[in-house]
Amino acid sequence: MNKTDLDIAYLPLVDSAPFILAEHLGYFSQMGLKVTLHKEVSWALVRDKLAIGARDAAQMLAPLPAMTTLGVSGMRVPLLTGLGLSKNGNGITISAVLWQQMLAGLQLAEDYPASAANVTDVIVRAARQTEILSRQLTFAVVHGFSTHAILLRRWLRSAGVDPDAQVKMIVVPPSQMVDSLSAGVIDGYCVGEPWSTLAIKLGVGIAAAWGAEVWAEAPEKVLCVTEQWHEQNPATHHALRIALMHACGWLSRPDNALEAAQVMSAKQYLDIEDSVLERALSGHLARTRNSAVEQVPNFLSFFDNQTNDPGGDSALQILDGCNDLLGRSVDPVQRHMLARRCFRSDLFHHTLQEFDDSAVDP
Amino acid sequence: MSLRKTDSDLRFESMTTQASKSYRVMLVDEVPDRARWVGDALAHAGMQVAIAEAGRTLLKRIADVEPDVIVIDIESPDRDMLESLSVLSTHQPTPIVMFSEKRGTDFINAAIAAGVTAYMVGEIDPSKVKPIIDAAMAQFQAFQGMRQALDETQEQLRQRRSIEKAKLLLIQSHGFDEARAHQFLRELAMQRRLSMSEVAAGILESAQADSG
Repeated sequence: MNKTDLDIAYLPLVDSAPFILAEHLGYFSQMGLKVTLHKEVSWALVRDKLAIGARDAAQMLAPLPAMTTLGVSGMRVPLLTGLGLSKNGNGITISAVLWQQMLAGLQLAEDYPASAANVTDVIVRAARQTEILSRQLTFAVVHGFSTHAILLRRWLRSAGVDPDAQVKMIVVPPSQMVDSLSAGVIDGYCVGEPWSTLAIKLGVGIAAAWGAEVWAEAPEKVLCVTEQWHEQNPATHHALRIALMHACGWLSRPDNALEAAQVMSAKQYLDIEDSVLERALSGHLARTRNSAVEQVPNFLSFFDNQTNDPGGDSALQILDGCNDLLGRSVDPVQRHMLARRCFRSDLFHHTLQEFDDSAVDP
Repeated sequence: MSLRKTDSDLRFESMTTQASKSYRVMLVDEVPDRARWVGDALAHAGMQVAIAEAGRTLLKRIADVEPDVIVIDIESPDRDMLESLSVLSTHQPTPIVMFSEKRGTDFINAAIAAGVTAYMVGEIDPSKVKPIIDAAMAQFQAFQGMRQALDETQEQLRQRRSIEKAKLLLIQSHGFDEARAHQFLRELAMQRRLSMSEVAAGILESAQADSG
């Protein structure tokens, strides 16, 4: 193998679980790797550190390897992914104030049940009447090029809201979402857990939709390296993918959610209460402060071909979503080339072939 | 919310001409003493300085101040927001100069060499900030020019490709020779007051619709 001492960057989020658990369960060392995990504060910084070789590999938002290769996000550097690490896991929250405004405008009771169907229906009806939604709404996402931004635009359109004309989209770090919502700076946001649940518990927001209800197979986080690093360390990259796939497999077993939550809640990792993490990992969520916790189907997945194969149809949907964000038409040739270059299905299939033979201790 | 080149291009031009005289610099720093210290030096060097707090109010401050350049810690959680300004709004992309308290010069030099964000200041040293901002602005403008040129080249290539494809289609379906196909496209373009590539794209689209 090429390099065995690795520095890996991640952001402290629920879906960084594969990295944290691979370390905790010893999967990296079983693959002959000595990994140091580094907690970072922004995707921009993660990318910078990858680009200059200060980190070997990183957790990354699914659209970013391609958008950074294209050079439309901050800087131009060729990045690629050979393994998807998670699918879905996001929620769209709207402020309780906006919800009440719409209910009042439509002459509905204050305690009108906020089921997914009702919320969409209320927004559809409110969006048609300019006297109810007279102002431009502001929604926040965690990054300009994120699954969240694509998801939010899909949802707005499905509710009859024009994401360009009727909505202003801004970027806010996840930890500032709840604060911005309660201060009235934003009317809603799309973000991973626990940031929807926190707003709901405080009563400042309600869940408008869970990600999987809007886009069933949305790629979320991927394992990212530079093209150059991959070419220099193909065997190391392969071993790293196998170790992380084992962690993803372990995380897919419902019985393990509690242990995963306990490990991740440590100060060195997420520093968030384990009960909150367990609910996010297992998809047990409530839509409003007063509604019961329910199991959201397919809320967050770590392990299946749809999740772990970074290529295929979902990669094309990501690219089309990014073009939509940029207001560009899709050049089919560029779309095809970018999909093949940055979303490396071939590397995933190479990993999959050996994955089954590489037994690890649970 | 989308990146479209319209009147922001004009604003960019006016910005570049005035930039060498006096920039509007926004300092985002959680250490108030340092911000004041650097801010004073920049003001002394003839720049207009606005000091901003990191976090929730930053976006609004940027909209109000419309800075020519933003100076921020490389480790700030607000960087994703700053980089997204040019994607999510029609804001002119703003060059970002970064400083780093934690990182050594190796990191900064490697970052500059890799073209990371070409605009890095190490520890903030007021006497050095002005030339670095000058250099950053120059690099930023060069980069913007390069990117625009590249976009234009790609666009030209794309247009040429669709013209060639449309010609081929005409040759195959109508038995034209190359010169006749070219003439046909040109005449159609003149009749309809469109560019040749637009006509070509139209022909290709309708051919695709027919076959599909």
